[in-house]
Amino acid sequence: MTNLRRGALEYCILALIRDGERYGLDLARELTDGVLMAGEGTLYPLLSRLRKSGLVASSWRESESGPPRRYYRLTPDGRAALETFEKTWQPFRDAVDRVLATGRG
Amino acid sequence: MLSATQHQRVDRYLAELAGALGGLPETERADVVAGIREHIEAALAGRSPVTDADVDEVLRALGDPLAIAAEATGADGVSGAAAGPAIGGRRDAPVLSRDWVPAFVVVALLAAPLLLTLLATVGGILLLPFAVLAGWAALWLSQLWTPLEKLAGTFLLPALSVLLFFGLFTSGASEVCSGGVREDGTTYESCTTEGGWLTPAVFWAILIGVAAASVATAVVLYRNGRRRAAELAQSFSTGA
Repeated sequence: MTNLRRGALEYCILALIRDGERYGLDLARELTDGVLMAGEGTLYPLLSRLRKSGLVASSWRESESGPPRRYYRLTPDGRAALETFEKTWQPFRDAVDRVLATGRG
Repeated sequence: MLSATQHQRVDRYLAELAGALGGLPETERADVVAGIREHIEAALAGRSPVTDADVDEVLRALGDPLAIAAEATGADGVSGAAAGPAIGGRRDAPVLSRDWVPAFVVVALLAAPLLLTLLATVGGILLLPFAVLAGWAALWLSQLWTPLEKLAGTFLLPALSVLLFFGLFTSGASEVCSGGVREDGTTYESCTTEGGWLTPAVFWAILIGVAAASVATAVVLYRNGRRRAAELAQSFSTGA
């Protein structure tokens, strides 16, 4: 399940920053539900990879409480990848559900 | 503000993470560690004063450094990199990452050297190199520990028996005698007792300190090893 979960998780990260930039702690808190991510730390290797592959960009911002924070935002490539995924996901999920239901009998 | 011990705890966590990320290119490793460091600072920024429990909670929520490293090195996903074994891949964890390995390492590096040193007079000492070498090999070849933990295990686990060994054989007091025959035909003999290189009190203090360090290392390695072996076994049995 690891590859499926990780792939979906990367798109979830893209979706969370679609409407505006967010910082790491904020994203980590939102994604750590025990299903998508077991621990908050898992987010950072994924962010690093998304940034390296050009789907996400980041910049430093001052914060009112504490040290500066790195904010992550979608690049045009990232937005395109997310749109493609969204178009595919619904039919993909329906197809898998259908097969699983058939298998059950 | 963090206290010195809280700083140490955070630094130790980050060092463990950096060690676990050893397989990554330097820039990527630095990037992940910087992200996690920032996360910790941001999570603690709102709390004043920061308690030890706060630090523990933030580190626990981040998760085991090895789990984070697994996410970083095991690849696949949108952003590519080499794909790991897919569903239906290998079913068993590697031999040296199974649940018996932590107990084996502790026995080979801590218990066996202690026993064999105490049995030195009946030849037990001859088996000592085999036990220690097997323990070191299992410790370093296994995937259950971070490099820092392996380093601690290498030196601290056998430290107690090494000290006992030297304690039994070299630091004890010895008696030196000299004698002869005087010119008038009487014999004389005088003996002096020479102390070892350590006074007993200092020796015992060091012994207790090293014993505590050895046992603490054993407990940490055993606990972390068992936990990670269980996690690995689970991820392999679900084909993940």
